[in-house]
Amino acid sequence: MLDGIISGLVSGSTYAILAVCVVVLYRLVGVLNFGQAALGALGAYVCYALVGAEVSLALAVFCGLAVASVTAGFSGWVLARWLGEPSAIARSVGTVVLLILLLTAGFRLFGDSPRAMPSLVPEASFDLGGVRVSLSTVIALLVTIAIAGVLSLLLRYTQLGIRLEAMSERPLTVQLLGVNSRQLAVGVWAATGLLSTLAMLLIAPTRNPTFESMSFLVVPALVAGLLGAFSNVWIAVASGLAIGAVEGAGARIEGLADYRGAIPFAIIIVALIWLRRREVWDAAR
Amino acid sequence: MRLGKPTHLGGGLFLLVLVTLGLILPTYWVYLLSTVAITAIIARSIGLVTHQAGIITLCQMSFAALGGWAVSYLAIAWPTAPFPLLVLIGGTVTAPVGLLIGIATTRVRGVELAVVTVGFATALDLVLRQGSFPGVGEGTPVIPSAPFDDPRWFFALAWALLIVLQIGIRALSRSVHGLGWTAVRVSERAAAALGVRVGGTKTSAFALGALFAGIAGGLLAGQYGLLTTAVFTPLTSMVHLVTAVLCGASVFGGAVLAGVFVVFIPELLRRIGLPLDAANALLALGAFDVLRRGGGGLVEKLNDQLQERAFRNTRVTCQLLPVSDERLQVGAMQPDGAALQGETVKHQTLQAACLHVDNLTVAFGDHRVLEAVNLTVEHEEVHALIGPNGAGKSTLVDAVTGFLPSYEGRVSLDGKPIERFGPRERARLGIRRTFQHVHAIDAITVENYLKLAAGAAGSERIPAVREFLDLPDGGVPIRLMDVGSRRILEIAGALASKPEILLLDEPAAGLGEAESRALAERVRQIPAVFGCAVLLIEHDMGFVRVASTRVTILDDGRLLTSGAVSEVLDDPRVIAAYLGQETAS
Repeated sequence: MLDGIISGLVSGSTYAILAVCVVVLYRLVGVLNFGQAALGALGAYVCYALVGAEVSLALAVFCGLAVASVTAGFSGWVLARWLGEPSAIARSVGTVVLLILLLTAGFRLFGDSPRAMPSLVPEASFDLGGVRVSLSTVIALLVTIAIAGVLSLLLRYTQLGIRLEAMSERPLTVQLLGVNSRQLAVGVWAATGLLSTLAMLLIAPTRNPTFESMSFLVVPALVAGLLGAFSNVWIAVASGLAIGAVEGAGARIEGLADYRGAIPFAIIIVALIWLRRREVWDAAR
Repeated sequence: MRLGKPTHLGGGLFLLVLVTLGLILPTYWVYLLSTVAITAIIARSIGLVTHQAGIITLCQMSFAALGGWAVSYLAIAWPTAPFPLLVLIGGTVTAPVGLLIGIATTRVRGVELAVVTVGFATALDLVLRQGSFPGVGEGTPVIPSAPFDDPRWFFALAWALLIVLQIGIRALSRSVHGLGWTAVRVSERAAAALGVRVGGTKTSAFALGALFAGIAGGLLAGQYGLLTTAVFTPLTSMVHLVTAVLCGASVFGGAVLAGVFVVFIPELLRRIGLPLDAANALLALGAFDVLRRGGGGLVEKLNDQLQERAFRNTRVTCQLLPVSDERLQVGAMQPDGAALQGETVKHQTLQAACLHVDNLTVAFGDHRVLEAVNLTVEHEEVHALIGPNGAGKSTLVDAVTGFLPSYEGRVSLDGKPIERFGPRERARLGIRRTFQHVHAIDAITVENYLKLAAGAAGSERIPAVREFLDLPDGGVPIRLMDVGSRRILEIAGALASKPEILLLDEPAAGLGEAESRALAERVRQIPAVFGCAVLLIEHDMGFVRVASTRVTILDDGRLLTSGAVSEVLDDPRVIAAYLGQETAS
């Protein structure tokens, strides 16, 4: 059981990083990105394709990160350019469009068969109180916490963070104050593309997923973000890790193992009923 | 409606073309056209949930999978059953699932709800992948009972179901409940203020959407014989969503066009030797273009243009002209006279004030927005509430109408405390409000808005209200009206519901000088004509002087003074504290 939980933390870290990306993008740009994991999948698959073509791992990782950030930045530019004004609903459907396009492109470029992925972290594990802990789990957790920590400090204490926060509240006003909100949006998008690739590189060796299944890892991340109401980075991180841990534990239980992917939905329904037990009204007067 | 005749003609022509195509086309094309009808049913369900009720649904194909599963199962368990019955059962067993998700997510809205639907789609996909659809393992396909095993009869069944469902949903969309879907999409807050049951409305959209999709899934089981999970992945739900957005599936034509696109674009790609999955990308890009332009999908836009042309020569604004009191007495009071007399008698025996606010304190965090405010609005008076911006006027309205999570103090209507009621119940009790920002629902007509706002009160008062406020023709779509006229329409809707008290939040904003004066005269007449009290928030002192008899002044959350309009507004203290700034600015 405990083994399951620990091994689930690698997936949990990926969900957590993706969730942080989703939350940050939603808070700062006002877009709920259904294509978040697909952007990461693109980066990861570029990396593996290059490794397959005998390019050194470091260079391949660099290229993967670069492709994902550029694609994400471009997507952000397109959405800000053409869907800057419409409702949050229109912008979210816009990211569904992004996801479909990325899936089509990914299928063309990489096919739909899973492939073996080299690990960035050397195979090693140690014993901690009778439980086997692999080095990749430790690294994944550290990376997750570092990303969340740096981002929340950045948001809270820097001029840039405050500007970004203001931008999502009142894009037009901020633009009138002379802040180039489109440029900032593109920057945030590019950063989340990079981080998503990192998240995918962490999880891929343990799962060997297809491009499509990798892209739909956005679902547990969205669930984790939703539990933090798409505003709290740390709740999103905790929820992402918890979903991974519950999935990991579920994998060790007979009869539940095959359905462990359905766990996020169960969690979300129960949590939402509890979190929203009081009536709260939408938008102001 | 004036578009009635051509619509019937178009409908007849459409049927004729369908029957002809079903009879003369080769079987392969008839088969494809059946798939168009099935896809159109799914598109229409998305039109209902997403376009009408404003919920992004990413799980319609999961509902279809449930319907398909049920039909596959029943086809084996009950081989003699007529196929249409199985399909209907498939839809019926799917609807409760939609209902459950709807109930569980009553308090969730917007993009968050989209996350719930994609969560459901992914979970169901995984569960389905663990087993297979009934009959697949043994290789026993669903064979529709005779005569529907013949593709032409199957074609007739699919299109008949689509048309019947469309007629049903169209009728429902024009009922008070169905109009609630559109109201909820525009603003849940405003919908509740109209007396709409927000949770129930969203839930019914989900459940009906699930019913439609379940029926479509059942038809697919008969069409394909053996179902695979690949048909119902979260990705296909997303493709159906973007297609519905592209075509504008809240109208019949849009749903059919969505069916045509989903079926014939891959067919075309296949014939010219291009990969089929390019169809998804094309549909997605099309949807992006529609979103970029705004104003709805292809067919919705076409409909709107036809509507604009139809109303080109019709008055689409409220023309409030200054009128004498006599005209109002004679013209509008008569239809409602009897009811009014009854209410007057009731009020005299009650002896309680219409609205009584006692010691109301509201705090947001440490900041006290209202502090121990007392306010009494008598029956049949127009009571103005004025004060500088940020004085707490709108917060008071929010408290009285039940939109604040909590407040201290007591609010009573006709002497009865109403603390235990939410906004919708308070609206039903007779406390109606308008909003600073216009919330009139632009997708529906004037007549339907009044019907929705009147709700349980019925439509009997609508003609009187319409005459009183010089509303345009009932068939005029609200989106053609200017902001000022929409504001007046909101007042009309509130009056049509036979309220005890009407709370108007800056009704004159956005109106011209003459219109504003004319509206002020109308507001003054409201108690006499409709037997309801008015609490009026307004910055325009000219308006206040014309419309109201008493006035209460709020300043920084505290009650400054209260009394007859002429006394209070000429009080040097008031002029210094508030009106002075107002004249200066």
